[in-house]
Amino acid sequence: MRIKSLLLQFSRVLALILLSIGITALNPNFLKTTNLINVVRQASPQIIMAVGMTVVLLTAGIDLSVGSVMTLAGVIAGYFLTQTELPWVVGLLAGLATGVLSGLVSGLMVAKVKLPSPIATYGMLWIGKGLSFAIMGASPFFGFCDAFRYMGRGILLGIPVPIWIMAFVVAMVFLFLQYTTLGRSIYAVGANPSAARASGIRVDRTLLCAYMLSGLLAALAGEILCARLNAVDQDIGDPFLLPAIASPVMGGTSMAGGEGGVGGTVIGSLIMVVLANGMNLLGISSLWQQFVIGLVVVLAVWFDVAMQRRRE
Amino acid sequence: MSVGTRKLSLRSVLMSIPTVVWALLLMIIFFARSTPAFFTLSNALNLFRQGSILMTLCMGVIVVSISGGIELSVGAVMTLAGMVMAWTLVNWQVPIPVAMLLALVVGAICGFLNGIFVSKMGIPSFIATLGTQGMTIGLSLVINNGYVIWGLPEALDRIGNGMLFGIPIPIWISILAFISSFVLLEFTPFGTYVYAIGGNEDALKLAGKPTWWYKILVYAYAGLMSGLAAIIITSRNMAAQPTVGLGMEFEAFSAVVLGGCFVPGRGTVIGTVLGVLFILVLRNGLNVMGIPTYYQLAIIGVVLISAIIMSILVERRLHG
Repeated sequence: MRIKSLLLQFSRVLALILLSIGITALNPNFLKTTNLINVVRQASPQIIMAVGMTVVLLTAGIDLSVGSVMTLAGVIAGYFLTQTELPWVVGLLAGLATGVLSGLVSGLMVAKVKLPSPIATYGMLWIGKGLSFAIMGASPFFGFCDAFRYMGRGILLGIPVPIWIMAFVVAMVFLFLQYTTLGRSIYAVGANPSAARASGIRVDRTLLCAYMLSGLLAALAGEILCARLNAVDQDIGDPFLLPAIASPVMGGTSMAGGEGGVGGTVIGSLIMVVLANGMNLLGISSLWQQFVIGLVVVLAVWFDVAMQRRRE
Repeated sequence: MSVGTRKLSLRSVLMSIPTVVWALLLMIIFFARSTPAFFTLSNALNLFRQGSILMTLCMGVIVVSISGGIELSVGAVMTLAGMVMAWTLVNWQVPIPVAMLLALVVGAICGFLNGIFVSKMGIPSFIATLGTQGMTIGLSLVINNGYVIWGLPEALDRIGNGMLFGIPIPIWISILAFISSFVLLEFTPFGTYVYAIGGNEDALKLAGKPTWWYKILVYAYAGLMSGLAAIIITSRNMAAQPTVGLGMEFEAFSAVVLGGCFVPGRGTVIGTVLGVLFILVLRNGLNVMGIPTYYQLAIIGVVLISAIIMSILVERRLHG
């Protein structure tokens, strides 16, 4: 079984490599360092969100609110940065706190009220949208201070700051999932909640943690994005939901819970990002990308479902 | 609802009225007292005309919800159907009835696709329709490079903004949708199958019925309704926007849940109508009261979500 899953993971890496080779053959600019660094930098918010989604997927749930949490965190941070005289750190932390809070609410709806996670997080999606709209109204916040913008535009040792943050997040969550009790409980709860409960795992607490982590990472991704764009707009996070689902599922994290991980998610994210960049380099209109992403989500989940069926 | 040998008491009748009716009455009273302009015939007509789109969409969504699915693509499918309709009218000068038929066909095809994803490929309905939503929005953007399509033939305006016997045509169309779904669910064998799929799909399968095919038809029907809604919105706006349907699926979903369909196999068309009315009254009331648009979304969102959660909790208490 392990050989099989290793082979599958290898085949995903292979797909990524083949895709890259294919694109380079059609447009050698792809392999230029500047392009690659650009690609990974642009993908950093998406990867961070995908990592958060991975954690929730592992519990056999899903977080449909990540896009709107991303926007809301940007709105809250933007509010503190542009509408108050408080230090920028306040805005930064307030945005992150928003993510954690929304994750808490989603988690409570799933764990305590026992709402199905798609419905609970879909509700959260709209709460987030409503709040964003109410706080920001029709005029977007823009013009953030340089210290905050460093998060999106800074360069450290030749590598853009967003990439550093992304790498840090990936490493931390990986260690969390593999080497902490809470992390392992997340796998257990997803694989078999009743068995997990019977063996003493605090299922409710584990679920809350998963959703709060997802919210936190969505907020972080949102702030990085806004720091880079130097503005926050109403629906800035919307296009990020579908890739956040597709990446972990393509990377081997099953929607049925209990299997998968951060490594696969990074590969899945890279595949999606390389695909998008490839389409740009080949001159395919970016308007097609929405279509392609929707298609990829459907195909990735189909594959996951088919694999799960094989198991039974 | 059969009464059989049960004693009809005032209490049992009162308890069988869906909660949403009470909430609706309360809301109407609240708005009527806050703003005199609310409780007028012209406002009511306005409400129904603006709400005809949501009503039509919900007539499709309810069928999917009863069968146990979640339909998140109705807004996007409506948008695509509208774009195709407008594009063919402007660029190929097709006759208006043909363009309208095209809208229905596009809707039905998208619905059919959803049906295949869910029924044959086994993808959970919320992901399948989320994916279709992305794909159809993508196509809507591609059709006219993201731009709105203008310059539709004048005659179309008579449909979107015209009257028949004193009632706006969009309202007639939504009535048509209502009759269609009502008859389908209450009086045809197919309707029984839909309820069966929601309630106990395996039983239906064991009885030898091709549930996989019925499921596909369910989603195709919802797509058809989305196409019908596209006709309304395109003829009313006299334009097709690639972003026009965004967000309607949330209201449609809420209306259906508020109307009593929180578990598969339950729910009625009448209940859905009440749920839609709830949302329409809420929207209209907030408008008439002059509450700024950017607060409206937050208020509507919170109200709907609390109403959904409460309905689900009350349901659980009553029926276990």
